[in-house]
Amino acid sequence: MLSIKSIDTYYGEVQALMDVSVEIGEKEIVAIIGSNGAGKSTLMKSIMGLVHPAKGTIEFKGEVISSLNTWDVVKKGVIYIPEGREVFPELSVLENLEMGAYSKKYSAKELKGKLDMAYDLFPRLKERQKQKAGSLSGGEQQMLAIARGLMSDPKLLMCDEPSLGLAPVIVDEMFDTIVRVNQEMKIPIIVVEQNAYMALTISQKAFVMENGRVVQSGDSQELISSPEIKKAYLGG
Amino acid sequence: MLNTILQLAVSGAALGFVYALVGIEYSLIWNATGLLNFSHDKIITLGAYVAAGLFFTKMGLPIPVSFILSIVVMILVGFLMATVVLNPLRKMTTIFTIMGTILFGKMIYELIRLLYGSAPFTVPGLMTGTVHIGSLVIAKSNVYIIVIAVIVVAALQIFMQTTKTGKAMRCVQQNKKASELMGINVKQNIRITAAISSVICLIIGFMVIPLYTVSLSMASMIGLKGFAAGVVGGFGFLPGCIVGGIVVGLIESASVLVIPSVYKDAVAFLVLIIFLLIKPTGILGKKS
Ligand SMILES: Nc1ncnc2c1ncn2[C@@H]1O[C@H](COP(=O)(O)OP(=O)(O)OP(=O)(O)O)[C@@H](O)[C@H]1O
Ligand SMILES: [Mg+2]
Repeated sequence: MLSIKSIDTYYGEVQALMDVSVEIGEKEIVAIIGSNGAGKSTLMKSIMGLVHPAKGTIEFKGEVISSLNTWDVVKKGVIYIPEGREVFPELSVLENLEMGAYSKKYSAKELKGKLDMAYDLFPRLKERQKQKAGSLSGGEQQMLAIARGLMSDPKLLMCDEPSLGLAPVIVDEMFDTIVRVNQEMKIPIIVVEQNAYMALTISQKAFVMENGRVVQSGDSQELISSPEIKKAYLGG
Repeated sequence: MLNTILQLAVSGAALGFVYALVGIEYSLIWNATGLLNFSHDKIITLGAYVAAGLFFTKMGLPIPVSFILSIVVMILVGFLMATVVLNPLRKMTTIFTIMGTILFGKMIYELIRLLYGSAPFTVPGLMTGTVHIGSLVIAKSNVYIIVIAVIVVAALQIFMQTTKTGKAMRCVQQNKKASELMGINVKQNIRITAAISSVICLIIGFMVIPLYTVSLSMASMIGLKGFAAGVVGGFGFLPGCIVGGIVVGLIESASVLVIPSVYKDAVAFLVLIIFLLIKPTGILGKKS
């Protein structure tokens, strides 16, 4: 469904991705793990057209998307929930959700249906729908970011560090939700995570990044028991 | 005495609404791009010249037709400004962005001077006359200004709160990256914002013709005072521009009761300095 073929991405003179290739199939959850500065977010940004790779191509459903503007990538159904939530602080929770559907031309009824789905996933958002997003707690903002991402009926969802800064109970809830979205909406999900154990547990496939390169990839279950991965990312 | 005060209040309010619209016009650009548009007074002037000079005087079209055609021209001017100045410059260092908008203004200024010369002219019969309420005499131009300004403010508010493009404008103000990730074409949205801003400039330029005549320098003072109004009310915050504009307009207008009117122009800037010293966030401004 998504195929990234040996891309190089730079920030000015600094090369952040080197010859990165990643394949994402239909309906699977794929984990991307690696330490700080490994290039995980840069890979996501390259897919979204927030930065453009200098070399290589990115194909989504057989179409090259690596030179498109971000908004056009979104129109193709690729949705990125960036690290750090990035909700619209001065807009209400409801307005934030509505903006999630910006790329779609929904009828009032369809929009209502999407909102119900979002509130069903995160009932807490419904209670706070009139509240400004900036006044939500960090965890609630993360829920809003995910719910907002789902409003446009994505064909591919990418979550960047959804567990960052959340309490352990909420982290479990968050990963449960990701699995639920994957099963109910039948869409592939890319999960970028520092929390490698969780990411490997819920995913079928994983890519390990280091210094701008993919250094290992394969079946998540196998990776979780590999001694190298254990040592580097799972704390022994 | 009471009549004098009421008259000053009405003319002060009218001036205040002019400043408020100036504040709104440049705040829209500031909010969307983080750029101070130093060409805004030239765009106001251009609006007056296009409507009054080109369509009305040169082509002899009726005022309403001239005005509507001018809207079209000013939308194009806004698109042009966004495409050649705002979008390319907004990620650069301040010095480039300042120079960029100043030079854009300079080009407009020279263009007007080339086409129309530097002699000021008036539009006979435009918003002239007075209305009498009891013994109170009010210039019709003041009434027009207040009514038009209120309509513009209300229309803008409705647009920003209810339309898809208006909501997207608020998103672009708050977070450009997240806006792009919602599928908003940020460059296009900034072009639309610039078009709205320059149409407001046209309205300002047109409204003040009875007060200042059409001349190359007609907008330099209101340009500065509108900036002051924005700071006094709360920088970058549209309701703040309205409050700040009216406060500055009323104080300026009332000042002639106590000081010679030649110093009137200094009053707005005195208010500005006082606010910068005491409450730099402005009357309605939030702490950032
Ligand atoms: N906007 C930028 N400008 C310049 N360099 C950048 C920029 N963003 C990231 N980098 C650099 O690119 C490299 C990869 O960064 P990236 O954000 O992709 O890492 P990451 O794997 O997502 O890390 P983390 O887990 O901390 O989020 C880092 O060395 C970083 O300093
Ligand atoms: Mg990252």
